[in-house]
Amino acid sequence: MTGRTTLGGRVDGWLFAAAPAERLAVLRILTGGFAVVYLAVRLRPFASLADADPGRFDPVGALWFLDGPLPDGALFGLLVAAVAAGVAYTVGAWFRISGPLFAITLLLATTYRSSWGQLLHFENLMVLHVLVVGLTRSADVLSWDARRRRLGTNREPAPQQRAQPAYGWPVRLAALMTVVTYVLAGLAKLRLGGIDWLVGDTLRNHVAYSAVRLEVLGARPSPLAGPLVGQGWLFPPLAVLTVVVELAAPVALLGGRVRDVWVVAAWLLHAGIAALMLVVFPYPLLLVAFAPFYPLEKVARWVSGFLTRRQVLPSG
Amino acid sequence: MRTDTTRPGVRHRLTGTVSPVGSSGPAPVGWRPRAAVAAVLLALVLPFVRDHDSFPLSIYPMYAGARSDVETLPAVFGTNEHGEVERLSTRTIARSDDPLITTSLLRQAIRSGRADALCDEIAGRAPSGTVSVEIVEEQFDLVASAAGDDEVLDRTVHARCPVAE
Repeated sequence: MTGRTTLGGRVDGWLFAAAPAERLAVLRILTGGFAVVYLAVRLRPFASLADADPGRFDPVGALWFLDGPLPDGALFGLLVAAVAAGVAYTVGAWFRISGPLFAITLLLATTYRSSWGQLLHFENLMVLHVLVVGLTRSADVLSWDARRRRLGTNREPAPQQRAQPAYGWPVRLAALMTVVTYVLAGLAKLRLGGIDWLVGDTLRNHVAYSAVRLEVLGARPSPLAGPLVGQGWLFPPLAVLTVVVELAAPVALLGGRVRDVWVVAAWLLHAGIAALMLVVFPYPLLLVAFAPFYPLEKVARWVSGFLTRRQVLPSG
Repeated sequence: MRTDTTRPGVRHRLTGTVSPVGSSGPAPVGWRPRAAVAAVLLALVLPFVRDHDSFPLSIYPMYAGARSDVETLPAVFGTNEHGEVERLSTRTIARSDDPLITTSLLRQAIRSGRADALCDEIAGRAPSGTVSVEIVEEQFDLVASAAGDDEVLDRTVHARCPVAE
């Protein structure tokens, strides 16, 4: 029996099949663009950690070894370095340095933010994806580096850059990361909440808790929360649906319509959380979390075709 | 196309693939990418195996735990010179717009006995006209409160402090 006919052989064949360089490059642009904008928008909360009570500091993850908060200069330097490296990562400039640098600075900055007694779970997948993309050959095409190489040598990219396993497995690994995070979330509900999470009032009480928490903190809850929590019968089916969608994440790897149905279901899950609880997970809501499931090189070719038709780019 | 492994090639350090010189076919995959993928997947599931939440490797426990329909929540009140009381915002309390972070900050301070210190800090950011600040915990019937019932089942004051003029 050849390697390709065993399950392990088929998984290996899928994981390490060749893919066009544009697929990984587009993932770089999407993850980098999102992460840089996210950091820029959240710069104030990150920077405000400089004034946080040192007694709250509880280092986690990659910062486990710290015995106290970072000096203000180190924190601001880290944030500036992350944003600068992020811009370079996104445009694919000096990527041999900017790729790993952005991956590491983003990891450190977000880990630092989760090191004050409350783990924040909406940044995990973004950080994991950037780690994969930043440490692989994501800037061989559609990048400042590629443009400089072309201008310097005046020739087309070498044929071996067109489709290689090196451009495929990082994207498939990113897809697996997305799948694993959703499956783990579903398993966590079953482990921590038990069967009561599915058939009891737990989900309803979580929605009510989010609404009341906003009110006691002087904010306005979702206008949907009040009317809906009064309809307790709604929540067990919603709870079952939630766990089914999370545990069914591996079907997204099958591609095609099955993938699309799952992505829509997962997106609706996050849209529902945002609508009912005003808790926003921007990475999946803006669809970046699901990008690795798709042939992203088509996006690059569509954009290139569009710009060529508009005569922004030379044809051919 | 069969790759001639006897010819010199270019090895890419990070990906472990070897591009034989002059070859136009996909380069064979070395052991490094396979090892990297296996290590990453193992790292992703390890928190679940160990039941240990961290960042960015997590068990994703958001909304997973049991939630009673009666819960206690921390809050902060400001009283102005006319005796009017208002709930202070997340920005004033924690310099954040995130209620999760704000609630966590208040709970940490209450549990560690630092509510007085936090009260003084919040007082320094209180809106103009505020004369005193109070950190409390209030107990609610969550479903009734979410539906509009303002009744507080129980209330505990943990700190009270004046706002400096």
